Amino acid sequence: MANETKKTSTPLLDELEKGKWPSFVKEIKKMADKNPRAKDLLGQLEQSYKDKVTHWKHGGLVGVRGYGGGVIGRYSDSPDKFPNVAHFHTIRINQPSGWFYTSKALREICDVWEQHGSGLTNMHGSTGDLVLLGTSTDNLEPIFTKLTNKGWDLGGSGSVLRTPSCCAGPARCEFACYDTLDLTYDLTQAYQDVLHRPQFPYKWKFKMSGCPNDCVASVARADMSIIGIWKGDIQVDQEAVRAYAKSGVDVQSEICDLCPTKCMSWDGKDLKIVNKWCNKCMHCINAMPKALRPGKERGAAILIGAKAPILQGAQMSSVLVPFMKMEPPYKELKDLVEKIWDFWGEYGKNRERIGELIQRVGMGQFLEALEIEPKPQMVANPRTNPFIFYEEYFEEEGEQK
Amino acid sequence: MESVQAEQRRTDIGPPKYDQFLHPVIKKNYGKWKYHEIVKPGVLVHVSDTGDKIYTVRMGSPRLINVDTIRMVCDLADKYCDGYLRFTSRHNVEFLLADQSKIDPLINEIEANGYPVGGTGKSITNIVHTQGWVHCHTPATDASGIVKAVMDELYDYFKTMKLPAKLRIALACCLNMCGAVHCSDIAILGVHRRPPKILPNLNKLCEIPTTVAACPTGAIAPAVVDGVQTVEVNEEKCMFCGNCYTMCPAMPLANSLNDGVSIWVGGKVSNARHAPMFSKLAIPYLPNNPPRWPEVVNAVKNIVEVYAKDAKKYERVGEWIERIGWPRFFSMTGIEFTKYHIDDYRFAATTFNTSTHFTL
Amino acid sequence: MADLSGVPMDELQNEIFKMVQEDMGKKQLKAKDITNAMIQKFGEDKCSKESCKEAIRTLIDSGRLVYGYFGGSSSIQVPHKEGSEPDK
Repeated sequence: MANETKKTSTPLLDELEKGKWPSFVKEIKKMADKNPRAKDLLGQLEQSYKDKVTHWKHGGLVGVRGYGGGVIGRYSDSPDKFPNVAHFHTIRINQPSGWFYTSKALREICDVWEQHGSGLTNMHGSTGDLVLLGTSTDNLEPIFTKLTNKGWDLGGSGSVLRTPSCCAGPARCEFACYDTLDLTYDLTQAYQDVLHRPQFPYKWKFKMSGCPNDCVASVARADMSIIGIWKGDIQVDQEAVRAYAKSGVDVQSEICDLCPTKCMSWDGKDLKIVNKWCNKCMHCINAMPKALRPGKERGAAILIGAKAPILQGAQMSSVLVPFMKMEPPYKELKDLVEKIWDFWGEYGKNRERIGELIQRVGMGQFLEALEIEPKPQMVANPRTNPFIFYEEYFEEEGEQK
Repeated sequence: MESVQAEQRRTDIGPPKYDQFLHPVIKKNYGKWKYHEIVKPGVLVHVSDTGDKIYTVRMGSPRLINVDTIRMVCDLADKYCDGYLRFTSRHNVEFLLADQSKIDPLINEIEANGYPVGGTGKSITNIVHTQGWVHCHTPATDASGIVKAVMDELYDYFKTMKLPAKLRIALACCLNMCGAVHCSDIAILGVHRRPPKILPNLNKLCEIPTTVAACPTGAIAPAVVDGVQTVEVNEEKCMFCGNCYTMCPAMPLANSLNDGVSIWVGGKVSNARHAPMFSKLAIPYLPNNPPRWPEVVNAVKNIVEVYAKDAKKYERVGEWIERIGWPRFFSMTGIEFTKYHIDDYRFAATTFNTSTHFTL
Repeated sequence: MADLSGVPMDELQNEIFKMVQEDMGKKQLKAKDITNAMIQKFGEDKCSKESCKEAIRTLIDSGRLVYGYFGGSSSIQVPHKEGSEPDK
């Protein structure tokens, strides 16, 4: 592709080069000097800043052979003005667990991308993928082959398992109640087929958070949120609590008074915890990580059904399994997942997320289909309306059905 | 196009295994971390049961970065971190160091390159955001531009840890919300305000029954115009969600005069103290005013400043508002309360106040 | 592997191809729609979910059929000219 060196005039975007926060306009401009795709992106974006509307059209039919996801088709509505972004497809690369990289690995991706695309990326996309921003269809297969030969694969898009993602987990966090990196890798590998080949009614997202701080926002975003928790007593180092107190932490007002279950007391010497009242909110552990640690028996809570507002309103995930051990090969979890996918595949309508399906059929029916016992942990409170679908009743003869 | 036949085409290999990307100190202490401390803004130390330490230096990024910037980051990782680094769920870069003495030289070099170090603890870290006009077909506003303008104004909060608690801002450029904006301390959400247009070629582009079924309020009905099958929209029923446009490209909503931004407050995902919460409407509409969206920047800054002054230590925005009550939130911020703030969609009544617990 | 006592794999593939071709532009077919239709057509004893899955994958891998994405969801289609919707 010929390099065009003529500068694009961008008076509006230039305003976004000012200020202290690093500028995405500078990022695009640096590439625009040597990459015609980036140059036309800059031009079209300036046009949008002028017109106050987007100049991208609906995606279409585009991808690599055999896959139904991983590439988002994108087309300019002004291809005559901006021919180098007439086709400007996004490639999603499945990021490594916890977004850990080496410089060597990143450089390899940069080299492929500089040769075959705009040279612009998102580090990272909202779902977690490493996003390559903008190339044409003829580059897709070469990019795919080169990336897979370096050990990378595409992430998900469309009605598939979306690229699972997780927090830093045990790699760099003392709160991790299970190995989020390993579970993410394991599930991603185990379910490659449904990640690349659309077989679901709609998207499915897994997000693994190692503790109730939920650093990957799984409760807001994942169809299945796997959040690390523990059973039993918080581990306390009383000496370290006293050290925090000495260093200025007001243990009474900053720790005990903010505990949602009021399960702690402090007499100036010892922090006493009534562990059976603790709801594992993490506040005390967050505030005094040197002194307090999650209990020793660890696993995860499985929550289900989060989604953004389209269409019936936003939902957060809710508790499905209050506690499950999370150890390889994760058979109990996979059995559950596959049962849910079967149910969803059978009864889900086109574009119906699992959370919406559960709303439609009722959580009670869903639990029964999955053979999961109802538990009080599943509700904020029991129902307040009396409209119960009773299924048991007495026959005339007095026999219970 | 050069030939790639020498290389074998492979599928379904999945991502590379994470362990090859872990710093040796991390590998050795995997699952053995005992505690962490914030050394100073932007710098963490994690200490292992074995006594080993790994330092983290957090660098702010605009998320949309070019390959040369990634290579710059790689050079720094090679020079200071034996080549190991990671990214956070909020688009920051984290350099991982075994050697404490390299922290300050690394920070100096990051800042000399024009990137900030911070975003830890009681700060405002990077804004999770979407594609906007850079790369999306349904946005009601841009994403990167607003983020840049807002972060320029809140820059000091990234570099320091002076807030009552951490404050998470997120931006989504339309109601599809790619990202967790609906559970953020402050959410910036692009909105449409006019019903879709109906293009004359609708019957060629869209399945009419699917298009009709796409509307959550039943505002779309089949119609015949000039003998051609199409649809009509009952404008009174339209709440501008844009689902019809997702299903049918002949029903665009983008409107340069009326599209804009709404502001939501008080959401969180963490379980610390209070259970996770949705963000609630603070400002129904602010105009799209590129390139720097001054109305949006001022609105966000105002909420941050009122919160910073009034909230107690550890209180997230949602916890603070729950304590002071919504009447005081609106009076303290000077934000007008309107009929748009009162829910009229499904389960609206669950958001009404049925108590006499309020301030006057 | 396909069930050898069932519908031969090439016949199944042809039937699937025909179904997708006939529904082009009328209905967006998902793997599930195709599988259900084939099982109904050939009977559960001759055609299984697994054989349909294999047939679809072979058709896609060979390029006779492709995955498409439109209206927020994925479907299976006969390859056609690349591009978006016609210009506004």
